[in-house]
Amino acid sequence: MTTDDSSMPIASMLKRNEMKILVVEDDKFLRGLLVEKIKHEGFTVTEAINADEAFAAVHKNPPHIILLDLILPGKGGFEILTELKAQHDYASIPIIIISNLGSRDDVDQAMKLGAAEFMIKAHHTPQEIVETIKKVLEANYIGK
Amino acid sequence: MNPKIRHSLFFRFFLTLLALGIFPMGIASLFFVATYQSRIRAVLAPRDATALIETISIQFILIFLFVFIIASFAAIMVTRYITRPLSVLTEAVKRIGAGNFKVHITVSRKDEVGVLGTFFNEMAERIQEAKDRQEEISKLKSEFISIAAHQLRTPLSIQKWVYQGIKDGDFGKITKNQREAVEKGTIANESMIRLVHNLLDAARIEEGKFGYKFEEIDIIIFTKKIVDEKMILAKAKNITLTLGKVSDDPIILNADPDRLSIAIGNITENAIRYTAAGGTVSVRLEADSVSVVLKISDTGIGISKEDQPRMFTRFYRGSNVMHMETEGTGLGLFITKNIITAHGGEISFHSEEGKGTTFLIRIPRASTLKSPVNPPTEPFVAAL
Repeated sequence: MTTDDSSMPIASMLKRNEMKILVVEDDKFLRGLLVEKIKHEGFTVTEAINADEAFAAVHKNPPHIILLDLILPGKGGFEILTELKAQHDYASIPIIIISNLGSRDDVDQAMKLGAAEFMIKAHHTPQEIVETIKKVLEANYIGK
Repeated sequence: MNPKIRHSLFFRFFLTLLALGIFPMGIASLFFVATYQSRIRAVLAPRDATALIETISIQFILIFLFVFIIASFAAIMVTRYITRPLSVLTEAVKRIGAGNFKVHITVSRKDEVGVLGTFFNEMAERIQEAKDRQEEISKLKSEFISIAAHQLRTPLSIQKWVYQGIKDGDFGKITKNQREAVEKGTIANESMIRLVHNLLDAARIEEGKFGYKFEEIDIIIFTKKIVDEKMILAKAKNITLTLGKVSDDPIILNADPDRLSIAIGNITENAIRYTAAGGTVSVRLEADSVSVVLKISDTGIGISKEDQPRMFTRFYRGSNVMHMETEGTGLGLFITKNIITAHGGEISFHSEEGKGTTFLIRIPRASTLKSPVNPPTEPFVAAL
């Protein structure tokens, strides 16, 4: 299902597959479902399952937006977030946290580190995640 | 006389000792007077006799004074010997009563008081051990719940996303029957997600990590929003949900809106869930200068007398609700009560089985975070 929101300027970019998104998620099944949904919306998707892959992907081809899980094998999402926000070239890339952590402390910490949104997987559908991605993109690229 | 002095040990010892000294003296002087007075007057000239009796009287008075002083002094000594260790013990027991078990008394005396001190020390140690063990178990339990709940969230998310994908037609067109089956799966999945969410909240409350962020809110707008949100559930269950008349002016309250909305939402949702179709749930909001009172009444199944005392306990569910609503977690009221208490408020209810329940939530308007009262924990060491 594709939501018809051609009124959003972001939609025209999506139609031309110009929006690059990086999905950092270690669970194969969840990643598959999410990536499928996002591709369907017209994003160009890169996948990463840990910090190393995520950094490599960012360096190779900086995405417009990153979906980041917090609990990952090895270096966790909080550390990835901190490192990316500390690097001048990448600090402006909006990052949406998609995690199953979700206590107020976790949310506060992520937002303080510069995350754009915090979504708890069990409480949101892929469709809602897509809506949030578009909203964040609007705010970060079109609104400026 | 000051009753504190009249009831003190010192005063009693003093009276006893004084009596012990003065009674024999008094009797002795009586005998003396009875036996010797007539003889003295018979033998001596009246002037000499009077002088002698005066001297003897003065001697007696001096002795009385001396006894008085000795009795006071002895009373002070005895009292100090007994009450000083007692006041140390009292202070130590007071601390244990307040929840500080790090109490040790140095015992150098070999008498009964010393024995009491030794046993006291042993008791304090045992209580501390039991408390440590309890805390350790409680911590492990909370950790276990946290980890288990987080582990459950990933498969639950997968289920949710898959069901949603099927319903959205992401995996191809589905029939009406298939959709109905998936809807049932969704309901079960959502209820599991809610259970996990409540478990995590309950564990956080127990670990003291359930943080609060207070801000000023207008309780009228706030309550209207909650009632609007619960309207969907009420309509689905064919229950009339009403919000009573509220004042036109805003009522400002210092509260954590997210947490408070969980608490009031829980109570409202319970009222709807445990009321049969056709019933009513009414939310009323009253305010005076010091506090805001929310009354949430239903015409539901009520809470039995036996269940009432345990309603705010974790995992406790009323005996009459189990077969009516299978999916409750028994955590809602526990979480709710903690939230209301943290706002400095109180929650109570009165209920009659079969007729309905009314919950009362009172929150002070200038509430700030009420952290649980921590007992003083600095160690207490004193000697008997």
